Amino acid sequence: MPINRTARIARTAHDKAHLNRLGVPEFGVVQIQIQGQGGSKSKSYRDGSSATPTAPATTGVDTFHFAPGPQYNVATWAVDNNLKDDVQIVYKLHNPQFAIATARLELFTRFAATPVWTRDLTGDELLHGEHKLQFNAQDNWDGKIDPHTDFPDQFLTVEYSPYKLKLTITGPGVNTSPAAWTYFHVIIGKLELEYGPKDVLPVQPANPEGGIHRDTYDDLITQSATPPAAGGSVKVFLNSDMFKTNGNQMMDNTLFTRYETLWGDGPQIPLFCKVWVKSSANTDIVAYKALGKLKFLWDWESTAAASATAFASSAENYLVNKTKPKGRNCHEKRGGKRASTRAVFPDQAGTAPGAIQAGSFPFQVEAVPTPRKWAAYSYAWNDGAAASKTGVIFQPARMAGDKYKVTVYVDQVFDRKKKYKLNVDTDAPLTSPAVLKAVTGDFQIWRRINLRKYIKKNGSVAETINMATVAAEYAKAFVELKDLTGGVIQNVAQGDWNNRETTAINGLSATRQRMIMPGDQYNKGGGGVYLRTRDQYIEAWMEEAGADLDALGLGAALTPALRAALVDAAKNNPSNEPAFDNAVTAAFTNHGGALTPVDQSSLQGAIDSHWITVVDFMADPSNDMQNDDNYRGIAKIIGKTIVGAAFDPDADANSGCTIFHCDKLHDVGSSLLGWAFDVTNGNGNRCGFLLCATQADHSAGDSIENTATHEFGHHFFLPHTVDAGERKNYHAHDESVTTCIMSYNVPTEFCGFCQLRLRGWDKDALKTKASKNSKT
Amino acid sequence: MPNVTTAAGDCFNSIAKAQGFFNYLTVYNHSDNATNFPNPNCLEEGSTVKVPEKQMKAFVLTLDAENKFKIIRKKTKLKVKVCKANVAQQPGMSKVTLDIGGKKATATTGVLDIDDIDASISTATLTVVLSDPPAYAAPPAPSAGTANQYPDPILAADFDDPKTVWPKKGETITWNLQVGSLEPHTVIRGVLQRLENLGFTCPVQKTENAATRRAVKTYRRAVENKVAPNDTDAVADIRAHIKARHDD
Repeated sequence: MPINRTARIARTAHDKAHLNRLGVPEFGVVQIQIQGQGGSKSKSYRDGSSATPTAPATTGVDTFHFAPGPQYNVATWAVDNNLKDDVQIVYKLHNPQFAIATARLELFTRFAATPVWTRDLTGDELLHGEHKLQFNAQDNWDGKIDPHTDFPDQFLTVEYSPYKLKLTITGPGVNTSPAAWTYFHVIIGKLELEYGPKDVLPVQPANPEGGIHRDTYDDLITQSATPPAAGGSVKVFLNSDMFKTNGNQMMDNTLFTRYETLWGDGPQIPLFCKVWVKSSANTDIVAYKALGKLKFLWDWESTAAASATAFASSAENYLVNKTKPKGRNCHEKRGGKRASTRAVFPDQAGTAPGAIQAGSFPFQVEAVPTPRKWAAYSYAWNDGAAASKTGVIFQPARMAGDKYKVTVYVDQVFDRKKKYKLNVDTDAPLTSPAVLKAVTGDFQIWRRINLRKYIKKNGSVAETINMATVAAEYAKAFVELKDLTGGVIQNVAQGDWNNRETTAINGLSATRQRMIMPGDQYNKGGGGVYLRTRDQYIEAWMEEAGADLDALGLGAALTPALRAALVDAAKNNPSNEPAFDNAVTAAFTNHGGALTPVDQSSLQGAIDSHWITVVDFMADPSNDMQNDDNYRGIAKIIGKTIVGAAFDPDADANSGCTIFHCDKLHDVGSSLLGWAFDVTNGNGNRCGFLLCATQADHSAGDSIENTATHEFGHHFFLPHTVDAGERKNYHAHDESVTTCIMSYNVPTEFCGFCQLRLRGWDKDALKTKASKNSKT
Repeated sequence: MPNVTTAAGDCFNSIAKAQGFFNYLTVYNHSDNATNFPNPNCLEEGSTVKVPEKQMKAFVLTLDAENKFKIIRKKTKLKVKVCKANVAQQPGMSKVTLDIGGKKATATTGVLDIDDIDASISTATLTVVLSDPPAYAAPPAPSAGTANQYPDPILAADFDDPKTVWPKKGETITWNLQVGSLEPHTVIRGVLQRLENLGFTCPVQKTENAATRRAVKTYRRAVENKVAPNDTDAVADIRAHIKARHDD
């Protein structure tokens, strides 16, 4: 543009040499830099055609950064006004004639033609030379700008970093360097993962079976106050004291559905991330206003290794490389979350910064849009108790054995179309500088079933179940059988035992009560109930013939000798009628001389009737006592009734399992090794297991621990194998395995089908043939 | 003769001419004029110049012969030098034209020295066409950085701020010259006029204010290379210096 100026000049007299110098106004920006602590500074740029007498500085770096705004004290996590990372905007003007008319500082973000902040330099700010821009009469700038939609806190943030600060000048004259600019950043110092406070978890009504997120949280904290570091691991225990309430539930899918009801989409674990900003002096500080609505991308990986059991491994091998994320965690078609739309980091509305509200999650969380839709974005608080922190509710699937690794990334960089750099569907880990991510170790999901009490009948029970052995078998299915007994084994009190048995016995029919061996059952030993043998039973019943004779009311006519001879006739000849008849005849002959014919006839009829009654009863198949085997069958029935009744009141009142232990169920040839019985008012969350055998009762290779494992398995919804006599077509075992613990064969381990069920997998989605559960 | 109260454009040359004198010294050396006005070319507006009476001059003439009278009129000069802020340097110029009363002078060096101007003319025009500026050259690119660097390397193309528009041709600067209006450096206006002439943005006024002080401060920083925060930045601080810088 043409420049018009006025000059007042002098003529020069003939004898003088007065000269009028007319200066061409010139100006330009030499440089602009931001200077931070410790001598750090940004690099100044200007067009290559710019020129000023003083060349711009060549010092400075493109990576200059500082931390705008106030800071928190790390120890108190509260504002500390003494902490600041103020910087200086230093610019140098070539303005030797003060000809610059306008000078404007403009701050630009990427992909925006409009500055987010401007400041016009005026007055002395335009003087020739170097300046430190003044803010509130101070040289220091804390990164505060005027109100702007993208900067509600009025501080520059990591969200929109990097920035371009540009100084543009105009004026009437020769502008040899119209602009200079510099770039700077607000960057992350580091990320630190931590568990959020328990208060943010939902408040749930008490549930003795489990399903309480805060319980899982407490357990995690007990293991370690901080999430597992990369390379480490932690077990996430899901309390699930849930037991069958009827036998059919072993055959159907009740285990899956009850576990689903209990734990739904999985445990909720508050994972927080403490966000540090890098100061200009390269220290990590808590600049809680400097994050903005920065996106934190939470990603998870399925890190479960292949199970040792072939069947389980085959089932895990279901589209492992096709899902996003890939891996061996339980697929959604088996009830898991791999490939599921059920979020591992569920959406959260968040709350306003301030105090953390009980039962409310503080941070906003939303699903990452396609393509990385399994991940989530969270945003940080800019004030309050959780300032400079962000987080998610990490909600892994409930499936035991699933293993998760969580990574939080800063997803800061976006392109011109506002597409964020990390929102891609490539496999983890995403390419990101180490400082922009924090990685956990593995969270491995475990079910937990509590063993509350171990109680023996009395001190005569010598053996003790090695619970570690039992627990080790369940551990293969990622079920922790947590021993809460503290190693204490209790005995039932003698009085309690006898009273309970007596009560139970009294509830039996007279013919069954007769099976009980008279006397102090408790003191008889470690057996459950002491019974008469079948012969003793008959003998005892025959002895009762005396009462029948007494009932005739013959008085002295029935001499004791006669009475005894008649009873002996019956007692001694229970299976030989002629011998019985002869013995009766002999009794009358030897001791019945004073009897009238009528009295003898009455006595004859009574003893015959009693004998016949006993013999007929014992021979009647409907009474199931016709031989010893049948008798043992009845013994087993009443033994379970009586022993169960004797133990039952001592079952622990809390959810979980109680072990009852006696040496035998009964002493007339019991073959029962153990028994999963339903405790009174168990409500599906309390159960009892009775071990009623010794190691010697077990086959070679078998053990009382196997029996315990087996019987607990029933409570945990596992049926026998088909070849153990279970009914068919319930599809609950690996058809290729005959030595499943739920069989009656000498067992090896739970078959893979059992393991997967214990892990919470959907039984209905599994086939009994291993290969049919796999898909590539 | 009556005294003359000076107005803008007056100097001893113009006053002398207007009063019919052929040599400004006749007026300048009259009475105490020389004492009052050390520089005959720079008069403060409103000053009083004492004008001498014209003197009769007797000549002996030869009859019947041709007698020649030679009037010696002293010339009035105009000396202008176009310079940069650093007065020792000249800007690149393709053409410089001075037009005073239709009398034109051209140069390419920025030095114009007219040795005979009409002292009564008080306006002139100086037009300077500057050389073409250097062609636009892009700024250097920020560092490319390293793989997986944090922060990410700066991509200049990501910033959409307006690009600098560089003129392709040289600027034209036109000075409206008020000839004879430069007042002595001993007065505020005289100093401020010199500042303005040297390219400064500066008001020309009789009193000092923030604007004059800022101009003085600039002078001291840029010319004298003095950054003295306690300076008064008064015109008087640079009076002698600017006189030499402008006039000599």
